[in-house]
Amino acid sequence: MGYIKNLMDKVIALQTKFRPDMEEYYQEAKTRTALLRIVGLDGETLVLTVNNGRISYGDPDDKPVHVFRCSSDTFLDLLSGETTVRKEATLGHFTIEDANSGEINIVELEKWSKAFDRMRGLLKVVV
Amino acid sequence: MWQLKKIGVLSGKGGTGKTSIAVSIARGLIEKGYKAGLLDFDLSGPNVLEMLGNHPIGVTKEDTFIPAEVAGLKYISLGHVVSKADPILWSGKDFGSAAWQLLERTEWHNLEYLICDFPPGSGAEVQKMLPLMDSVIIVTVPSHLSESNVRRCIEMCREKQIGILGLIKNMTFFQCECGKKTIIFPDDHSFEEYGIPVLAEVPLKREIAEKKMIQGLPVEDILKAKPVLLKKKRFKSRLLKFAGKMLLGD
Repeated sequence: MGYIKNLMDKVIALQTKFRPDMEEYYQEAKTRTALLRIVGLDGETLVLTVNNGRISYGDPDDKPVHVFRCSSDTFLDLLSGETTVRKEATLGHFTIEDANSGEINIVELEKWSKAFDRMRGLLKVVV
Repeated sequence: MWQLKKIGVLSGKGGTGKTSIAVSIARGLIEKGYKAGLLDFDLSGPNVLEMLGNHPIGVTKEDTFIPAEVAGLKYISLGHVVSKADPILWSGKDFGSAAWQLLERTEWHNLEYLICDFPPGSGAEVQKMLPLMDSVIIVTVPSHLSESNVRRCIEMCREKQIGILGLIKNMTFFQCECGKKTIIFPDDHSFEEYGIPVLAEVPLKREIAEKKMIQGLPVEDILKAKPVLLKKKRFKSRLLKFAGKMLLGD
């Protein structure tokens, strides 16, 4: 198992320990399954979803609706708080595409930006 | 049946005041009691947020946007979604797709009019979104630099077969607070050959920058104007007709 998957396991496990009351956010940030492709030598492919406001692993048998792509460097920067999904997506370093058409999806960009922001907020408190 | 009327505000050239005019028309409609919205299609330079105050948007369970709202005006901009301080380094295809989603995946509910602020030029998002407009308003400034761009813009509407409500001439003169008028740009182009009416002439005034709105635009007259649909130039058919006549010895 690569270090990215290992790290993601820990981050996802960490989220289950915290349940801040963000009802409005929960409603907003429910997503369908997405494939996160971390490209490069340390590449990894993760099946993710956002449920009840938390990023979690999706069912690997589910057909992904969206595909995200970024480098391992960008991914680590995202988790460490060096950058945000919104910024990297704006600069074209983190892409969010519809799995069928390959077109950018800005509604998902809005939802996943918030999901990652929240996850990073938790990491900031704990790490 | 409810039908949303989409009106594009465009100009071939940047810096003509499209956004100010689009915001002013939308706000003017609200003041007159219409249900109006504003969509910022200027994806590489979304400035509507600076003018209206950057109120938050939401996302529904059905994966659609809930537009921001200020004083009854619903609005959305790509600026809501992207990072504020960074350049948007997307392909033309992505811009076109994002523009389409802003229009089609936003809950506009029962709006009567949606004013769409277009970017300058004829990029991918302009080409994708222009055919979806019911009609357009073209903004020009009386500068020779604007003339050729406005002509391109008019010809683009002819090509896409979109009706033009008319021209709004912005910055026609500078009006001092003492009331004195000074013409800054000496080149006034009427574009008379197209038969497109001038809907309004807007002076350059400090008040516009301060209030972030042009007061007194005749919004109802603008919207009641009959769109001018320019016929496509059909040289080929005319040439064939001419050739046919020659064969017949006419």
